[in-house]
Amino acid sequence: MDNRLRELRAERGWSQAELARLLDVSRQSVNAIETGKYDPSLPLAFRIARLFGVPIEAIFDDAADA
Amino acid sequence: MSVARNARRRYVLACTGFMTLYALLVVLISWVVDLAQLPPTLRLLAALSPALPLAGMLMAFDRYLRQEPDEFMGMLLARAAALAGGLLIVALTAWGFLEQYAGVPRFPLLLTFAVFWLLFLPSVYYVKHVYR
Repeated sequence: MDNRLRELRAERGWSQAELARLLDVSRQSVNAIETGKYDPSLPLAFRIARLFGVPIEAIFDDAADA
Repeated sequence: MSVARNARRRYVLACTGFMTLYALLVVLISWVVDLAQLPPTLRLLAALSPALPLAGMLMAFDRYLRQEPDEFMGMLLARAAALAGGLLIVALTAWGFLEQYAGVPRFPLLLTFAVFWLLFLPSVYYVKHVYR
């Protein structure tokens, strides 16, 4: 699934480690989500969306899977 | 990530306890108690007893996976365990064919659990590499 996580993180000037700390996950998790190798669960996706203050669909795009 | 640290600490403590119990039971049935002198049912139960802490270790691993707050790391470990289990099945089956048709020595099945964890280590490395 495509996502804008790297872009949103860069806009805020956060490193992967900082974002991982804010989400209470490992840096490897952030990297795997950003590179599209891992799709987060719905609860984690909501946490990400809340952190950036945008709707989930503004971060994750399932068009490629449709 | 204190929740993760707590989950890992609980897992390590549980594993240490179960491994200690396992070692004690193996010593007990190998050198302390003469199993041949026991009634058949008791002998059977005594011989099976070291398998119980091993089952406990698997339950502790399952609990750890459920309590690990980092779902990605939990998924990696679960996939690694599945891979190690699959490799173990293939390896034991292959060894069985070698025993049957190539005359290789019989594999001591009581080492199966140890072999699983030996296979788990490279499996974790491989799965982490795939998701890097």
